Amino acid sequence: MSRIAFLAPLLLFVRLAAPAQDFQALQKNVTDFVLPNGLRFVVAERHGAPTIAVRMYVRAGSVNDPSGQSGLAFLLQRATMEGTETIGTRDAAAERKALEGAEEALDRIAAERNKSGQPDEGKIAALKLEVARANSSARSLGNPAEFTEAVMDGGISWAVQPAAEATMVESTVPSNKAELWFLLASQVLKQPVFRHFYEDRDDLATSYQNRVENIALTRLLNALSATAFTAHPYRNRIAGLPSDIAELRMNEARQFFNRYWTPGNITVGIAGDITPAEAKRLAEHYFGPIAARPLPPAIHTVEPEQKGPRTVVLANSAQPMLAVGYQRPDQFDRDDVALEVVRGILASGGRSGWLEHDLVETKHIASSVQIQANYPGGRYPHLFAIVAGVAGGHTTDEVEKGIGDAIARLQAAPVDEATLARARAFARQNIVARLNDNAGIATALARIAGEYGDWHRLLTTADDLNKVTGAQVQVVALKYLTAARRTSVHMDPPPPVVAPARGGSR
Amino acid sequence: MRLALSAALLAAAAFGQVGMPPPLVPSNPAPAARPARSTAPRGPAAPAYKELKYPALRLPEAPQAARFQLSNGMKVVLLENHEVPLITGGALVKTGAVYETANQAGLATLTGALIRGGGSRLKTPDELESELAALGASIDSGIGETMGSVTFSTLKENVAPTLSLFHDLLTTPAFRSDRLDLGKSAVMNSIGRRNDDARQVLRRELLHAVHPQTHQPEYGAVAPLRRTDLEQFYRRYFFPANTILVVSGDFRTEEMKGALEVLFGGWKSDQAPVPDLPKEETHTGGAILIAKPDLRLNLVAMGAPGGTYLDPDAAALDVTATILGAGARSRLRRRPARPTESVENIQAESYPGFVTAGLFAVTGTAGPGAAADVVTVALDELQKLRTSEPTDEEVRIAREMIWLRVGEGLDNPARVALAIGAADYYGYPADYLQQYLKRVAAVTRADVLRVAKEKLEPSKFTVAVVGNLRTFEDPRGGSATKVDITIPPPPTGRTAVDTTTLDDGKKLLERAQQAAGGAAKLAAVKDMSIKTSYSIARGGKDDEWDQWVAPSTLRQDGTATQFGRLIRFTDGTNGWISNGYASGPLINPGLQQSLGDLIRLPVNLLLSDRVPGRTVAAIDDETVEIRQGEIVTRVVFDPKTGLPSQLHYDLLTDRGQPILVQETLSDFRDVDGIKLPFATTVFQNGTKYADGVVTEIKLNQGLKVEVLQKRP
Repeated sequence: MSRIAFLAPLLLFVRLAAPAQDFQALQKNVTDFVLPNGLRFVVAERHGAPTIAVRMYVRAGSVNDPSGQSGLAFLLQRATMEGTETIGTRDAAAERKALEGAEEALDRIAAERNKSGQPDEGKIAALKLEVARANSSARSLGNPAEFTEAVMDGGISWAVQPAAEATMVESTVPSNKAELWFLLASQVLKQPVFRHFYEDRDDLATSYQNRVENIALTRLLNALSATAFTAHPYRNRIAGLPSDIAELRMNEARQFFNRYWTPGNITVGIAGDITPAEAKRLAEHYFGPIAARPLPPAIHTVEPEQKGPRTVVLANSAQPMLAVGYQRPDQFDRDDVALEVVRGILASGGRSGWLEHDLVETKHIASSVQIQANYPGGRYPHLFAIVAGVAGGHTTDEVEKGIGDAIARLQAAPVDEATLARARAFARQNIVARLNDNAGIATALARIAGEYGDWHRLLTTADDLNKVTGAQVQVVALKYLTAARRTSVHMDPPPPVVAPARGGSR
Repeated sequence: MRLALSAALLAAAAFGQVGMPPPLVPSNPAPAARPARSTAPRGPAAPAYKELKYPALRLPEAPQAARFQLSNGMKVVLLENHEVPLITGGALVKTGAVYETANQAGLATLTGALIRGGGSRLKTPDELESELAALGASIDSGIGETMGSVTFSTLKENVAPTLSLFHDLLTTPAFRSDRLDLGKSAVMNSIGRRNDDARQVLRRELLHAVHPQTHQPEYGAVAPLRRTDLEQFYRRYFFPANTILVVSGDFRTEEMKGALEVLFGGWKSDQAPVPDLPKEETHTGGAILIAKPDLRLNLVAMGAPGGTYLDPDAAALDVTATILGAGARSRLRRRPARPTESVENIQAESYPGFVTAGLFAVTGTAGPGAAADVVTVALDELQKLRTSEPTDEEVRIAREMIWLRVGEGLDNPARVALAIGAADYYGYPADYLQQYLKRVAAVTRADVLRVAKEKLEPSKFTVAVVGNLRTFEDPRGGSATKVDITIPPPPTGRTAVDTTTLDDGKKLLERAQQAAGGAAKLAAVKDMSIKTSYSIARGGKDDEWDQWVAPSTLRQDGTATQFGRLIRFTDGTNGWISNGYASGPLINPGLQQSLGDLIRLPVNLLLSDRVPGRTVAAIDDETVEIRQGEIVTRVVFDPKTGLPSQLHYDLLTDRGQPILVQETLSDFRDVDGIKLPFATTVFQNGTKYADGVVTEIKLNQGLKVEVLQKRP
């Protein structure tokens, strides 16, 4: 059957539509508003399912951990689920008094230990008893499980995802329980009680080995952050350090919370079976009364310019891996979109991405390749990162060279139209495909509005991708993907692994 | 290895999720009223959360679909959605594993996978892969138990080329041989692994006991499947009148309708209508035991028929199952633990089915020797439900949970569109889900009592036990029938060898001889020395030096990271093997391998038509099967160059199950006027085993048999 015959009618689809015509229904259904205390809401009305996805985006993460208190932001994810002054206690005032008493005794123990001269062990022992008594009293008054039960009884799911520069509180809410979510979440923002703080802290410290140290990829990425960033807090480990975690104090957590979980620092994305009017009413009623607080201090540390390549070699991994990061500007920079296209050229579409094609399919020197254009976050200058698993019988050096070769191609000449089209399609598809359900839309709205101040940026980015030219790609490759800006972390294997029964060779 | 960057870092995210067991602090069910305090007022008092009143759940809107039929009988369902510039869809085809005959079990799965995996007439799978990547689009295909589908997803701006590729795959799939072999070995791989996961075994055997018609792929049925079998199955079921095409997304109905008419209008076929999906029998009662000696705990499941979506009692059964055992508030979860009952993770659920009745199932794990406890606990709780009505609260919670479960996926328009298509496919009303939700919302306490009495009698349940047991005494009486789940081994298969296939085979071989430099040149090669360096995917290297003297002397001298030095010699009948210090006779399976290697050497392979006792039979227009004695090799030729591009053969192991090996040959270079491959990739059972690079080939050096046969 001739293929020419139906080309013409299909051209009906090739509308050179103006960008405003895309995302029509989404634009119509999204409203946003800001409460007087600075808390921002972006609401997408979608009545397909009797549910609502809510994403509370808090601009607080490991980059905000004070020195010596790494893991604080991370610990809050659990601490914020232990109840409030009104949920989970028989007597809020008495419980608060007991918890404050324990903190005060801990302060005095610290003072005793820090003073010059020998600490008085007897005094410390007595203070420890006081702590134990106060805690026991608090425990008899409080019930950390009640918050969780209230959430679950309401059919609500509640999860907290920590990251380098933000914390996302994720919920799915049956649409008739919307008010419950607003009540619970506003209570958490207004008057949380970290009832189980020390148990959570100790649990985190002891499980560190399993959660962090034993996962090769985590070690690899921690080394990348620590080496590429010598000053900027992107160097902080998201999960913290055991020695810091072990000494964290509830009043420190409280201070962090008060400073960073302020209304002006939070954006709530909502998508689902709720009208904007109803969302606004509930927001104003429950979150309105939360007093405005000053915005936290901005991070003003600027990472000094990296003047030459840095290499780290880590030993002992069952699977050799390589991480390479290039210093690049923040997400607000005009070069951001072109870098997203670079990612598409190197990573896109199954086996067509240059790195996947060269390293995995053709040369078989890598078993997998992943690229993250914004590592570990985007708000501050960060890294364009490539992580690869090295294939058996090959080395991290070979893979690094392979990556270098691909980048050299990008730098040598503007890429051809076909490659550009593929990369743009990939990048656009990534944005668009995520907006296929309540969860995806709520997440995107919260994050984009939280970072850029305007959710519409989501649409313009999708459009800007189509404007990136081959020449621009070459320019950013030459500017940022250079040896001088590169940090490599090699995780090298131990002596050769014994493979099972022989076969298949001639 | 998939390296999910963020996932590893957020490995402790679960740490912050709801669902962690409650701490040891006793629960204090005091009202959450705020106490009076002397501190500054905190604004208007928020009502205690327990005092909130909630409206009834609102039925979600069902989108409007446009339906029409093309002149060739294909049904089309269109749903516009202008939220994002995406267009998705799928062709739902009335077919399924239920239409297989018993000796073809696996044909449907294979055909389904190969529609996409085997490429179209016009484009190879690799070409398709690149084109789809360039468009940011995807196409998938599959055939399940009762439905076949080819689905696509694309950015709006690329809908025309994507639909074109989709059309080609749906209407003219090519079922290329090399992909067929890969597909077969993937299916055979999964056959070999199907008893690995105890939970999967439990579910499968229970379903099979309740619906005995379901059958599963077996080696004996899959191994002999040929391209023609797949083409035949495809042709029987994939035709316009047997297909519903669903498209949803950012388009205008009239434009899409027009384009589909043009694109698919020419798809013609004169297949007879496909008989309706067979009604499956349902069995009740009885008990089965599957012995799995590697388990420490016993897995137990009890199943009774659960109704279809149209069944008036399906909603009540769903509510009953939820009250019984879904979630923290259910009867089974709240039942106090008794020291005489060693039961964990006991839960219940009831899912309605589409064609067949679904299953009302209770599952649980029990300690050694305590398998019967799961049954007694379940029967005990069921008895309570059959005696008195549940509370209003229980019914309310259950209804809400079911609404959430059913309603959750409805926020994805692409998925909803396919569900609407599926409703048409199964002859359900388009709003069957909404109707089901309404019925769930109307279930009363009396309804629960009634269905429990009528449908959940102990005798109606089939019990299935998987564990390290030799017998199982059913607490209801009687003992369980033992079910043997040993996987039947593969039979030996043969390809038809007749004058047609031999002629065609000779033609293909002759073309390859020409392409490689001509039969005369090939025949003039009296000895060969080939050095190949392999890097093994799992780790390590293997350097091989093969030396051959006509007609059948072969010495293979290898050094491998895993084995060290290994030298093998054969004279075409027998041989020896040595590690450099000690040697012994070369026996099977090693001998078979070397004899196979002898046949597969580049020059020898192509001169197979000159070897007495060796047959070369074509199995399709690109593939021949070369057989000498028990050694079988399939060679796939590159249609463009005529040169061999792939070798497929079985590798015998001393563990029984042969390994299917596929070697791809590439980088053909000229050596003394003959084209020989300098790169090879070796796959075992579909997974990459090694990459080989030939470092040297020397021909006609005057190698001597006496030298080659000398043991080290």
